[in-house]
Amino acid sequence: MGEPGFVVDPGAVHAFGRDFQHDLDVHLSAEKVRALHLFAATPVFGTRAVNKDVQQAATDYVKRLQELFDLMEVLLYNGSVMAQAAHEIAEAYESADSLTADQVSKALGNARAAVTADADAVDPRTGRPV
Amino acid sequence: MAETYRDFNLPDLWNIVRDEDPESGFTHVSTLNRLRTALEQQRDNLRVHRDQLTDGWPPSRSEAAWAFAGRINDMIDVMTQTADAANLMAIGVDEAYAAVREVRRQLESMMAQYSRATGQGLLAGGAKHAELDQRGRDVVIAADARIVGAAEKINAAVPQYRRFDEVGARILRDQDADGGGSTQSTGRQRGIGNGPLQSPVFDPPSPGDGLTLAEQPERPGGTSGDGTRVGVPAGPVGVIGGAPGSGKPAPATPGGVAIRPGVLAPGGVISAPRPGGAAVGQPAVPMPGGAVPRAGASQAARTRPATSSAAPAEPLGSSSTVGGYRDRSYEEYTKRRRSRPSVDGDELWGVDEGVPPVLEAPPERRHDPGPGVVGIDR
Repeated sequence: MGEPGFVVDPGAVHAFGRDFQHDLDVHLSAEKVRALHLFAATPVFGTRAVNKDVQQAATDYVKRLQELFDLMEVLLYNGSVMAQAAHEIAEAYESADSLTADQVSKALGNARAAVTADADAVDPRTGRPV
Repeated sequence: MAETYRDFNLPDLWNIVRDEDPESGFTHVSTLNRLRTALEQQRDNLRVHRDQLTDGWPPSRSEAAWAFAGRINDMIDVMTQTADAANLMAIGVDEAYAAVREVRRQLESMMAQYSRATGQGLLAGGAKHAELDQRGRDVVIAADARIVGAAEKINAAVPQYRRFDEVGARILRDQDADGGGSTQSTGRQRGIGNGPLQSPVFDPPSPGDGLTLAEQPERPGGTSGDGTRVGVPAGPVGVIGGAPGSGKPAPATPGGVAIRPGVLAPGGVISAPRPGGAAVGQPAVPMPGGAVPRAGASQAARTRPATSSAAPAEPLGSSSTVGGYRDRSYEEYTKRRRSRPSVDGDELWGVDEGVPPVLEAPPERRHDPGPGVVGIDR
């Protein structure tokens, strides 16, 4: 932490959540679904291979593909969490800011009442404003 | 590895790779590259979003912003590593499929040669088969080695990255040092570990399975494209008199013509195919006069359509037609050869004197261009 006190633009935090989720949907998620269908529909090499090492290579390839898709699923999940969290964080800051405004209004109201009371005050002896 | 294919002949080897679709490799590689591109694009976009976020919520001024940006940076790193893994996998898969395409192309070419050698039906054809069988085994072994070498790249490790425990503020909580699990375990928890990508089921052919000629790219001595099954029995080929120790000709495949390249039963005479779908290799009935038809007659008969293969084969001329016209030219030729006295010197073909030449130039005719020819009067 450098300088004391935090600085936050809730609009920027909201924008991050919105844009990030949009990217996840348009790029990663859409491409993942498309790729998954393509891989599922395209046979892998060596299904008639006699050599056990070739069979193992084909089996390993499918496993690695599955791991890759699992990892992309985790990225999508965590990305969505981050986007959602960004919105919640921004709302929390906004909430904190709105509470402060209420407090300011209340303070202003109290101050106004005090000022008004002072202004309306009269000298009891003379009956004139003080 | 060589022992694996010891009993495989070329049709058996072709049987291994003939169903490999050359386009499949391109699909796999291009799809992996698209995934890599998507990951890199997502990562680059995330960097831009992070920079915009930190402008409005500087991590240097907020502990919460610092933690949040750290999570974003972790995700960017994982995206980079995943894209690299996808790229390495694509390279390995490309090499593996290139090896598959290459071996398929080479075996397909060899099968065409195999067909031509089968048509010879002689010792030469058998020797050619043996040579092609060995070349085919060498090609497949080399391809296997390439695939196994490519497997190292295919097995590129994907980064370990755990899911956040739950949505909400808890993502800002540090994960337990030893908590969570691998991406695989988290995937299974959500039911994605058993995704649509199923492990391949292998169906390797056995040596001597043989192929129907209708399934082969160019039917070796095949009869037709009607799917008539023509067996290619395993075992030594190119031996006149059948397989050693067999003592009997190769049996005909029911419903078809057994083509055993170059095998002729003991006592058989090389002849054209006989009617009724007689198998090559069965004892042949000597033709009248023991004549041997031309070398290509057998192949020509076998390459006819099935409908015609079942019909009586017509040998050249009418020499083999029992009771019909008999061309005696071959016998006369043989007699002449045998009766010719041996002569010394280089001149083997004597020329009788006083006999007019066979080819004699006609008398020269005077050329008369006739009237009306331009320039004739100059």
